[in-house]
Amino acid sequence: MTRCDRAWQAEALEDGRLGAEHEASFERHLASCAECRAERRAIVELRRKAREMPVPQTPALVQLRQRERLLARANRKMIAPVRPSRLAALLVAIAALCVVIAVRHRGRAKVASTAIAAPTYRVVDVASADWHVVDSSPSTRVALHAGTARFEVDHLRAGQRFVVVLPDGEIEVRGTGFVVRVAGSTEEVSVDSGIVALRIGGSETLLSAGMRWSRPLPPVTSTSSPASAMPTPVLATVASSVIATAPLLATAKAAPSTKEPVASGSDFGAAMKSFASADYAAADTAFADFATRHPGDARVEDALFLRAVCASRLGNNEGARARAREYLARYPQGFRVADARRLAE
Amino acid sequence: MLARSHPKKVVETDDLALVARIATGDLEALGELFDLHARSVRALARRLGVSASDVDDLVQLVFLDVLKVANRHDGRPVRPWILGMTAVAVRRHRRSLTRWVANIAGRVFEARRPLPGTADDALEREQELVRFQNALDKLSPKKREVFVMVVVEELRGEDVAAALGIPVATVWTRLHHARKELRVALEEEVP
Repeated sequence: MTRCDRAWQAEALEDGRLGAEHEASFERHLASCAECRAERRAIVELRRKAREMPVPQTPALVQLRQRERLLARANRKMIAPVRPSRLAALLVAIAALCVVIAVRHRGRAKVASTAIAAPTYRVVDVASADWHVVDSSPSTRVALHAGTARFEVDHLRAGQRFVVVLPDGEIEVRGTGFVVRVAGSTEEVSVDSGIVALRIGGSETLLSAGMRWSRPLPPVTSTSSPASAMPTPVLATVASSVIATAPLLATAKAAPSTKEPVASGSDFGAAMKSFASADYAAADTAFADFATRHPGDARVEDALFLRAVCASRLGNNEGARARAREYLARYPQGFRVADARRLAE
Repeated sequence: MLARSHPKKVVETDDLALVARIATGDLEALGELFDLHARSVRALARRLGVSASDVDDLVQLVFLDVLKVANRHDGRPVRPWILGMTAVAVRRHRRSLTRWVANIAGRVFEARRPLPGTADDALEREQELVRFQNALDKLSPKKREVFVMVVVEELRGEDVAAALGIPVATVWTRLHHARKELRVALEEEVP
């Protein structure tokens, strides 16, 4: 466009960027340089055109109305309570949405978590084991009627339970592998890994890996005392590989009556019949009799709990609390712990 | 010798006092400031491309901004301060998608033609303004705001830099390129 080295000064002069000395010098230069004069003229012409651009003037009346409108808006802004900006409102809305989604997701997760799978286990028939599955729900119950069986239970997850129902009690799994020998009544339990809770005779005994429970010899002198029939846990620590080595007790085999399960079943059934027909006073008495007459029966746990329910439904809240506490003390890991805690409160 | 452009000499004392009063919530002072500068704000907004239908709202927003930030005014000249806020408000306005679409549509249907029946010299002048407006519309928003603020509104480069939050050197660079592009565009449009 131009070849003069000082042409840039035309723009600097226009913008007031040249000092006084350079301004005077450049103006002298303009007199002798046609290119710089043309550059200067083009810049001034551009300014003229720019300033000639028309801007519609606002009539005085319109200006006055706009002034009033401005002051009214400003007044509203000043007296109005501080309101969140649109962005803040948007952020609050997004946060609320996130909370709703999180709560719903949590709810779904909770629902999903209630669909608990049954525990996985294996039953090995060690010696003439007679067993069957009573309940294959997450609270699995397997009944061992006779013989020796080895139970291998995979690690239990939250909500899963595994119980071996014995003729005279039950074993609840806390761990993995154990061997049970049953001959009429429970004769021996050996735990080679994990922990199990053995409940016989109304009391609970924890057996951990390497421990063995076997039925003790009854005292020779006691032949008629009911107390002698009550099994007393005897614990012995043995190597996990040594199982079923305890001497078998011939006398213990004959101790329980073969009719006992039938009798206890009818007693419990009668109690349940009263309970189902809402005759809670009769049911309470029947459950108490059942627990007294069949202390080794696994259903004693249910009987104790249902006595608390009977008391509650009869309006005896104090009695219900006391029985619920008794249940919790006796079966801290029982099936009805959650309900019992509610009754005990 | 061609006349030079000189930044307008504005008596700032009154303006500064008004801003100080506005900072205390004095709406009467806001009204007075509006009387003094609303026309400049409107003209700048129009020259920066705000449509006639939007310019009134934009002027209102600028003065409401003044009310909001008056207590943070640092004593700088008020006119460039307000015009700087106008340029920022125009940027915000431009970013609004709906207005952008409306602006495009307005430009399509708002053909700039000389009015029929005007005299030859007036016609030629009108055409020259249309050509200049078209060339200005082709500038990028950043170059356009610097060109309009310095050349048309006669603000000092330092004030424009402070108002727009950019270095002074950037102001001169943008202005140089704006002039160059405008001259090229005008030469191309000469019939």
